[in-house]
Amino acid sequence: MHKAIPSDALVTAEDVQQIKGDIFRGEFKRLVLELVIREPEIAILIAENNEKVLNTVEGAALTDVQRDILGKRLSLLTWTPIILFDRAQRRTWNDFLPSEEVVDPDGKDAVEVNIPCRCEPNEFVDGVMVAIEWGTFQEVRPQYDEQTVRALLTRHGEAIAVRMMRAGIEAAVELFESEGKAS
Amino acid sequence: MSKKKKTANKLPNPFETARRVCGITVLLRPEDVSEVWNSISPDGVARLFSLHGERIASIMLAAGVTAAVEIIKQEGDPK
Repeated sequence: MHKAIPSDALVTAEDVQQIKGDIFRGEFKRLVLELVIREPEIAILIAENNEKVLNTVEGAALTDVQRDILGKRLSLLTWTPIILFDRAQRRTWNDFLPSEEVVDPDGKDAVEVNIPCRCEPNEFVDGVMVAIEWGTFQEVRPQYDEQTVRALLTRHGEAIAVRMMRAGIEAAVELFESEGKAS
Repeated sequence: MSKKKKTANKLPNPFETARRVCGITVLLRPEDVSEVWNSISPDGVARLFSLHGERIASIMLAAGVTAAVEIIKQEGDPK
């Protein structure tokens, strides 16, 4: 049986159990996408190296099933510790980060969260990935305050995501058709 | 000053902490497009993404912001 050893580790056994549960419930992809928003540089680095390993494995004498299993295990092996450390590190800095439940209702003491808006194709992701967050609104609609935007994204995130997907599909089809006409 | 949710070992819950800096992430995959428009193959869409990914991402972002602003206005613009 595993015995808890006192230590000053950032990641606790409870954290590990929690992420195992998340993965079991099929939320691994969401966890990775959240990490991509918070730590884009390290996410790109991991994705790049993951892809290199998988490309190398392509040459190995494995069945498709074995290759799929290896790919999934490799993803878990590389992403899970980083997600855990990211979250534990944010917990360590908790007192220095703004909270959603700011006691000051006018937001006078709220600290600005500066996350860069990444509106660009990511060559390491199979598709076009777009993140929309409070920082996005600061740039394009500065008249809306953080509290309003965060509440909106929480309540209507799915509806907004559907609109984004639809716009992306329509844009892709339009581009495809205009290229066809040009050629 | 802020209220923080505590876990059993009296530490703030890292998952709550991390969640507050998240927004909406949308991943448009080649198969999403080819499922809707059967005449375009996933490979064709992937090629299109590599050529025009930035433009498509900008359109998606603009659509998201527009949708959000519409909802804000429907619910009663605080401004």
